[in-house]
Amino acid sequence: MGFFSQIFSNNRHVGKSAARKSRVAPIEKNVEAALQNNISYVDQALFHTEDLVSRPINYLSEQGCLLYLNSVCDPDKIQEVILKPLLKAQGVNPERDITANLVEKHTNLEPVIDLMIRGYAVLFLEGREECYAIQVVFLNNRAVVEPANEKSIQGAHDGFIESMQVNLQLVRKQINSRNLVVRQYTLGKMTKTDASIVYLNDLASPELVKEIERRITSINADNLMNGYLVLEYMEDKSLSPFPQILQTERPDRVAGNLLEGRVALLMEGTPAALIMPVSFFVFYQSPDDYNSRSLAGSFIRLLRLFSFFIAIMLPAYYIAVVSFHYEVIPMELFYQIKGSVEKIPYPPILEALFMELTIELLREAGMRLPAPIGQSIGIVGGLVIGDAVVRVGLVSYPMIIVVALTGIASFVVPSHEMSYSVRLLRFPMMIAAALLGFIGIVFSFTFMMVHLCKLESFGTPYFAPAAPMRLKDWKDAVVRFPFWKLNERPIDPQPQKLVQETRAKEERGDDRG
Amino acid sequence: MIAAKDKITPAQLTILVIQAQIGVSILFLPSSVESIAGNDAWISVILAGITSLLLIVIIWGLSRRFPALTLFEYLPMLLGKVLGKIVHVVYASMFILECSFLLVEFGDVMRDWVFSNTPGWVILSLMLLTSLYMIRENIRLIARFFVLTFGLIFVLILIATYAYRDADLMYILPINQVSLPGVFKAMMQSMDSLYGFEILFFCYPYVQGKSKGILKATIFGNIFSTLVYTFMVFTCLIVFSPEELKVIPQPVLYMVKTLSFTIFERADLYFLTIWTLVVITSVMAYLFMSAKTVSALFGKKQHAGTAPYVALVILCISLYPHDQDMINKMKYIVGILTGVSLIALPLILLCISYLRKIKGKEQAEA
Repeated sequence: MGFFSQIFSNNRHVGKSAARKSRVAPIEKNVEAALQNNISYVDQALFHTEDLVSRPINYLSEQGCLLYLNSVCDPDKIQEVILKPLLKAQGVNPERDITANLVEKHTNLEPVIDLMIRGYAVLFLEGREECYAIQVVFLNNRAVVEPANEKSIQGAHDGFIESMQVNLQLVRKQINSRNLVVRQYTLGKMTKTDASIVYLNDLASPELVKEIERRITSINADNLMNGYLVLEYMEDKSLSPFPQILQTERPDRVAGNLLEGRVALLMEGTPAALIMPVSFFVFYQSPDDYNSRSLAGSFIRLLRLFSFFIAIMLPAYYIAVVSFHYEVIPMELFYQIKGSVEKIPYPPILEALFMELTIELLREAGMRLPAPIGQSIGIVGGLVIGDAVVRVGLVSYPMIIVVALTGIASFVVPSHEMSYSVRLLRFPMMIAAALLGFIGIVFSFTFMMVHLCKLESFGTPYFAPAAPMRLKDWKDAVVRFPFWKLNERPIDPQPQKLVQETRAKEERGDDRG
Repeated sequence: MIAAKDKITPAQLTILVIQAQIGVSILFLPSSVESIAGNDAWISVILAGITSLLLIVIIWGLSRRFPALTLFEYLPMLLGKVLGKIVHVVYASMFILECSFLLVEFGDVMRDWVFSNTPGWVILSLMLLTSLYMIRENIRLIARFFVLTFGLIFVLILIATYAYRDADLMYILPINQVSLPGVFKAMMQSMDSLYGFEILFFCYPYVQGKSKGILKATIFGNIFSTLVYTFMVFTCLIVFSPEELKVIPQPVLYMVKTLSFTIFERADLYFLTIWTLVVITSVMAYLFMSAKTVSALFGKKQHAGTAPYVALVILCISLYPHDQDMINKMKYIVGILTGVSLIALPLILLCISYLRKIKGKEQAEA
């Protein structure tokens, strides 16, 4: 059993062992007075790596040397903030003379070497038992553009990029509150990736923040390069088909969720924020709902939720009808469908599996290919295969309609993760329908619902506000009421303050309805 | 002491009771009651509802004296060790048999209406597996699921309402056609469908709020289910003539079968599909009670470990009867057991509790 529990515990050891390992005393190596000794120590500590540059330098009358890794440092910056100012220097304190915005004085060499890897240049001076680490990191940020997979029609068009600093700035720009707190961590024993959790101090429940902190700090793994890896360590149930952490590339979506008392995790190198805890319905909300008027927003949201049922149930329903319950088809339609289905030599489940897998193949192929070819693959696949497959007599016409509708419905979800789960879930449904018809669908559907009721995300119910039922929260989960009606936040992340506005419309004074 | 986060609200209790009560018999009740009470059947159902109200008050009165304990924790206090164990075994067999009987009836309908050739164990074991997946959790999560699926009962009612197109009110006249004993006999018959309120034994310590609120919630649930049953019986009575009702075993299904909507035919298949979900919740409730009882019998605090074995026993029992004769025999046994353990025993226990002045410690109200 120990073996299995180890497999399924996701490397999520409870604090102790991880903490014990990291408590190995850090190596102390003081900066020596002799310049050459320091240089050779750094060189050895970095195993004579060849991107280490050592540039001799003069600081007034003192001899010195500037050490840096040219792969992570910006040569222009070195020129601008170190070399030029040092030439013109007058004082005796290099900390004052160097114009970089981050200069740290160190007497211990070990942390300095870690800083060098992160884009610091180190200045050693002959005869001084201290050194100066200067931040000259080479920033190679791409522009803040609209994320390709979370486009919005109305609303902000900025998206996260691979730099955590920029991402934090994008979030802060949305919420100018002093309650917005950033807590930083370094994750991964080897990758040492920067991560930070962001939350509103007066909203997010302290237990939740503590729990997230506990989960982050107790991951004991070498490679935590990006958020997508961390996500799986932090989720409650990794084997559940439903994602329990929302990934989003949109700062406005993050801000909206922070204002509901949720917590976001940002990581260096990850162009997305992980939002936790989330409920099922959060995956079906898109910033577009809030940026359009409430009637339109509600309509779109209902359509999306409906698409969830179409995507997982429609092929199953069709299979059940064709193979078991053809009585439910009205008479006029019956002959049409019969004429088409009768000529197919295979059972409907095979037809459906064949077509569904073809669509998945097309999707995957279209995604991997460069955009212009990707589109033509879609056309070739969709039109040519779709038409030919019917003419040959492998698949019936109604099945093509069903599969196409299902495909479209599964892409409506505004979250990529949930779209995957929806596409996966319909296969067990289809098999159940092929085995037991409607009753099979009921059983698998019940199974899914029970699973949703049991699932929790960071101690909060996943299927809220449907289970536990709280009709008040349906105003912002299933439909979108006008903002002035949304007086309370959703209760599932257990925010410290439930009320988010009071008598919002009456105070405008001019309203009569 | 039960932690606040394990508690359920009175509204959840109401729905727990309703979901436990409304189950298989929504299909069987009309014909079985009609065969005894004729067109006064609906009166018997209402009378049965009133009787079950009395029983609820008894169970509540008993639970109120031990507000922090479930039935099997205070049984030994009232009856002593040996007698307590015997009564405990009676309860265990009652729950297991009742659950099995539920499955037998469900399997029957499935065989008659949907899958005539599929072996019964396939559907029944799927049913039990699904239920098992849910009932291994605590009462709180079960309540969440029951609330979620509660709306489906209204869909059933809605479909049945459509049948009023063919209704003829004349069929229920004259009222009081059958003698009073007949009505009472039919009432006993319909009591079988209203069992399920005994889930109060298991929920009482877990419900938030005062004991009066708990009583109200349970009574409200009971009234709701009585009304649903009465509605179904009444609808069948006015849609079918008395002669027709004598020959059809599941009148509700025959009634919806004839309905034709323009976009789909055979409403009975949809009705059966939704009804299956309603039955699943009943099976869950009974499986939960059986698992709780059996695990308490073996002195275990958690029921999750015992539940699979209980489900296996229930499956075996429900596969045993294979003709109408045996089913009737089983129904007879279940009837006696439920009568003893839900009518006689609670009354006796209540009397003992009052006469010998045995009371549980008061629960500290928050």
